[in-house]
Amino acid sequence: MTGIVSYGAYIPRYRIKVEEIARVYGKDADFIKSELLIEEKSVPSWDEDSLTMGFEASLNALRRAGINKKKIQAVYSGSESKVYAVKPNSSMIGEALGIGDDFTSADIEFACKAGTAGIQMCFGLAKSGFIEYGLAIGSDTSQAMPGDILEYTASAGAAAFIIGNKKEEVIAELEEMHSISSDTPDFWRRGMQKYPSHAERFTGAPAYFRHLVDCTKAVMQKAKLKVDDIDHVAFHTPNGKFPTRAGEILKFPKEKLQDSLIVSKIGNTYSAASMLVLTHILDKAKPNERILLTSFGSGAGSDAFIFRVTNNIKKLKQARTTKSYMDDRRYVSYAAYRKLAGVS
Amino acid sequence: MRIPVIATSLVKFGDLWEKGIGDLMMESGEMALRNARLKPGMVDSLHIANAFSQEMCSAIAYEKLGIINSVSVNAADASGAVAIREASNSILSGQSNVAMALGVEKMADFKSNEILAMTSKLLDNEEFFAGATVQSQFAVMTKKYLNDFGLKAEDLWFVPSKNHQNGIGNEYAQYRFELKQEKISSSPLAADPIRMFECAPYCDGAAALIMCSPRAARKFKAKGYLLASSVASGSSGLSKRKSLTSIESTKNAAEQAYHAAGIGPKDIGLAEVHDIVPISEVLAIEDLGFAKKGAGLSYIKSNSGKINLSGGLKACGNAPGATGVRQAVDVLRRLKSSKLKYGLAQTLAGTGSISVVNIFGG
Repeated sequence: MTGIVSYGAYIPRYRIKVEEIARVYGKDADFIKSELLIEEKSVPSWDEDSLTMGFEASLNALRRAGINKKKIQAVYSGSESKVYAVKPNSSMIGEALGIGDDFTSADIEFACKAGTAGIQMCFGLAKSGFIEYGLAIGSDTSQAMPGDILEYTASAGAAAFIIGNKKEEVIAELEEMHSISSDTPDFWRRGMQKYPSHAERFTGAPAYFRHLVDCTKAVMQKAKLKVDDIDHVAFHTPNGKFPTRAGEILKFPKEKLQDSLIVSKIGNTYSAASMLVLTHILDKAKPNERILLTSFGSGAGSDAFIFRVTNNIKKLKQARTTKSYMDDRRYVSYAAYRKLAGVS
Repeated sequence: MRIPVIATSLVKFGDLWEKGIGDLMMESGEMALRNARLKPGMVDSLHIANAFSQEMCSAIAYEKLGIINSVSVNAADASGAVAIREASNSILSGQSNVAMALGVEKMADFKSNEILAMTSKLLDNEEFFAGATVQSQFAVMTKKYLNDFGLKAEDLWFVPSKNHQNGIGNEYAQYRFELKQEKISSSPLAADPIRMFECAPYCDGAAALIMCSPRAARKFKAKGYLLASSVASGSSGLSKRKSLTSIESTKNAAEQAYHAAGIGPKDIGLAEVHDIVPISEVLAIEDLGFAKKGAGLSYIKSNSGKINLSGGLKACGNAPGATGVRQAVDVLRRLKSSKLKYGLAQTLAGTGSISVVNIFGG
């Protein structure tokens, strides 16, 4: 049996409200909130980056798991805001966690789906028996040009998953996975550029919706599952509107999509976004429940997974829940936010 | 003047990500050729309307449609309407027996700030440097109009709301949904007092029509007739105009067109007018002579089944190069399916630096 053995989340404490950003630019906050279904977003502090947040989330995953950390033999870190252009987050996180030297590691880039690509790689290695445990991380301090619409959503957060293959340890079994990729120029950032570019409306129908919806349909068809068979849905969340609309297209009842809407309180955490939704679901999931996760990365592609929660979830140890991070917040002004964004 | 129109074609307007400018020209051009059972070599002149692509449209037309004689027409949003006039002139001069007007535009590939820069550049230079946009200039005109005729900003919301209602039945429109006035009120200000949902959106699209000389008409089946095509210029700068509550170029173009067609505003059974913002529809109605100054809005309210039945630029979307041809095709098709005798299409460039009035007969 291959699946998730443990998981961890991390969200910075600082928040900025849509009203505060809109105030600075003379924009209509109510309209932005209703159009994006977003209220506030997380802001990394001056000493937080994709490395520290990825480490914190991984530490929470280790705290929950009752495993020997030295047996983690693969670490993959997905991010579009790596600390170094050349020097991997993944090896630094492995070292900092003290898992020893016997592990393969690499950093992955695929816009917002780099983290789930790492999960797939771990599944492959664990299922084939090459490793006992793999650690897959999605972590981002995403950037937005001052004044760009992205500024209302681009936020920071991290999620980490330990993947394993022992029946007595797997808390969520992988039932099926599927991916799609294409050359779709909806969002990009060239080397040495500080801020990303995006193609406005083109990021919708031909990018997010086409990939995420098609990939979700494909994985459900592969697993021979219907909407009724799924208990919780974790979609990538560039804002609140996109996953809500995708849910309507796929005919998922609103309550099954509820967890994806944590985006309205934390913003778009990029590589961590769909993974943080999954941590939030697992914090309260019951045995036998079925979870669908579909990520989306610009450029563009989607990874979809279907998990079945096992009885082992009751055996997990305590660690900070995603909600506790969401509730622990302090608001900053736009000036403070810019100062923090400038150094992160 | 009574020039037979022997084919029309329309491509559904929208964000046509999968289609390039060549694809759109081929689709609309081939459709029109098929419609008239013509081979490309039988088209004596092609008048291609395009405002913003900066492409060599004639070369694309040659590659995609196999038409050798073509010229490009650029008159901003009025390009398509001017191309119809140029095609008709070619026929009237005896230069062409068969002439095609093809309007095409790709706007969705531009970012919104690029569109803002491109469209604002078409305004008066001094006003452009002072920061004016098409919407801000119309906002000035709107404020003056509201003030002069004792109206409130929300009174004008009827216009886009009505156009969306009309657009629901138009399979070629980009936005086929109801737009309630409450929804307009909740949208942010684009340029005070004009709100975002009062502005027509820019989009991609193409449309074509083929005309022939009366001499060649025996070989074809006429779908309708072009009875007049008038273009008039005016000041692009608001500061240089005599009035802010009237568009002089529309008045002049209308006067010439009515004279050429030998009819008056009362004879017009349906009209497509340039509703890029609500005030431009109201002013059009007055300047075309449908209603007295200050009575445009009440005329629109009591004639909602006559003005912008397609949904206008607001629901169809505005693909500048294609819009004038789209309006003409819409008028012609509606005349054909009704017993109405005359229809009119009015198109503006910018805020009225150019106006075109084309009159059609069924």
